[in-house]
Amino acid sequence: MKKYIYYIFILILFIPFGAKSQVQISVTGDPVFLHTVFNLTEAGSDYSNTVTSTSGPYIDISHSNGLSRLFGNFSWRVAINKSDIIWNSSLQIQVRRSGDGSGGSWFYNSISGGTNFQNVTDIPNNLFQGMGVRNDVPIQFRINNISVLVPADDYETTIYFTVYQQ
Amino acid sequence: MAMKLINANKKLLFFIPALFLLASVNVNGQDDEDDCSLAFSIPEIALLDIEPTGMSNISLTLTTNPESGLPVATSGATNDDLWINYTSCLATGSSNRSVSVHIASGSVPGGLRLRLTSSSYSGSGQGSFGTPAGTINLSATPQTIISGIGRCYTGNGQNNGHKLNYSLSISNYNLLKYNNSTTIQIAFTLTDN
Repeated sequence: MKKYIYYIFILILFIPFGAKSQVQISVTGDPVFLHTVFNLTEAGSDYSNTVTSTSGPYIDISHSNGLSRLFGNFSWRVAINKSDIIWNSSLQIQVRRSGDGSGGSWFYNSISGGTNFQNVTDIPNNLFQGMGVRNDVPIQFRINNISVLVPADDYETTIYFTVYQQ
Repeated sequence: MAMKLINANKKLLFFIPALFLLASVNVNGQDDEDDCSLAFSIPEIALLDIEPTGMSNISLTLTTNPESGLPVATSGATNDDLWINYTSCLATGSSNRSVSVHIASGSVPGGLRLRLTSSSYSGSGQGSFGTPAGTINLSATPQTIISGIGRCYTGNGQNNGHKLNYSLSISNYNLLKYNNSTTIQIAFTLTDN
């Protein structure tokens, strides 16, 4: 009997009474691009049209509810959009997830979609979806249409990842 | 006593799924957001070369005319084998670029005139190409041969960019010296205006 009471007590601890219970997303790191693509040495040539990030960022999906984290009984989808700081309209950003990361829940651990490059626009578009806690999902970016015809500048845009409870 | 334990277990069996249900019910509809910064730089660049690479030495020759009374033959004194290629990337608001040319070493023999003409752009490149300045007499003083170069790349190799036409002509017969061969090094510079 004491054992049951103990289990119930533990379970109750997992329930965040009075708190908003929600799916959570955490983005770690920024994409890193090799700048050797811009080391042009042959006169008359253009820059390589495309540059692909070599590392970062990574995404973690979790839940504020301890039981949900434990059992993974929540479905989610991740959408992506951008907000330009300094950008040129001819530059196109594409994104994909380059791995699955790792599942962190007991029962429901899944991830699907988003393994092919897709355009990143100012409007949120679905990137991938899944169930349960998911850690260290690697994200890769690609920038297309790089050219000497694009004004030389330090370009920057903010990439937003939004997780929606399904 | 045994009945009580069974009843207590039944309650537990009810409460535990209820807690699971509670955990499931209270997780709806809340979204979350995080972000990262995507940044990279496109640098300014100015590159120029003469094509074909490694074969940019040319020879211009004036030959004696076998017929007395006629001028020196200049049929071997022209060359249009060489092309100038360039790549230019500019920041917004930067001035256009130009190509200047001058004799970097050596000098044109007395009585002769070395001329250079740049053709209009042709090739597989893209962008805002420069405009040829016409024919110039080469000297040690830099002169603009192509101006108004914006953001562009000419394409690489022969038949891309601006064809260069060199011609050697006589400006003063009185100053000519027989077999007065010389080597002249000509430098091209892509500069910001």
